[in-house]
Amino acid sequence: MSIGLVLDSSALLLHLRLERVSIGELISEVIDGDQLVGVPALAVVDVWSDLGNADVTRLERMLTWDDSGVVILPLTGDCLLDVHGTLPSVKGGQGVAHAVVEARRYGCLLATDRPGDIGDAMDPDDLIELS
Amino acid sequence: MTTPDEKAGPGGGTFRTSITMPINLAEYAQARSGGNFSAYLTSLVERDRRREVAQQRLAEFGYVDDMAPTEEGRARARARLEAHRSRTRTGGTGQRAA
Repeated sequence: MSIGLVLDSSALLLHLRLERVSIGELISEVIDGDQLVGVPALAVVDVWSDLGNADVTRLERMLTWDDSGVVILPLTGDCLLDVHGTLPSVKGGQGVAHAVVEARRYGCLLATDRPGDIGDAMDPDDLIELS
Repeated sequence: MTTPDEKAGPGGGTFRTSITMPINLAEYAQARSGGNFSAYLTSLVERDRRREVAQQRLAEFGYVDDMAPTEEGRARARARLEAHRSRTRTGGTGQRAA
């Protein structure tokens, strides 16, 4: 199966906090399109310290469910080099850089709540700002 | 009519069944199946079940009640995703298997 959407750190935080229905709607449509939603490993590391108890419970579910249509995108050696090369062109942190690398790799949309964090690392047409 | 395979264990094994469908759909399915009609139908059912389970997980995650996806919101998301797919198809951006 292919990746149809990647979440950056800001989108992941909204998802784990259940703050916007728009991200649930996006995920639902990706699933119906028989694709997967990708969550970069570094985005998880980025948000972990900002999570409350209920958010951590949802994160644990996300990490353990293997049938939810949401998958963790691991940080491989090649990917680490790409993240290092991408960091200077993004205004967000490592999680954002990892998200940019994965969205480029899979040729899919990158969901974000903070488009300014992406800098000029991606074509604006490849971003979806969460409403 | 559906007949359980006698070798089947709980949740496993196979079922033999006969189905009825319009001729034009049956011809399409035969052509798509590459000669293995059962495998083709099985893959369609698997895909349907995978989607159904994933949608159930989304609700279990918390997207219910006032956070339940709306038809209007889903239509907006669908349009945005489809526009991007169309653009990448014509623009040649590659997709890799996960």
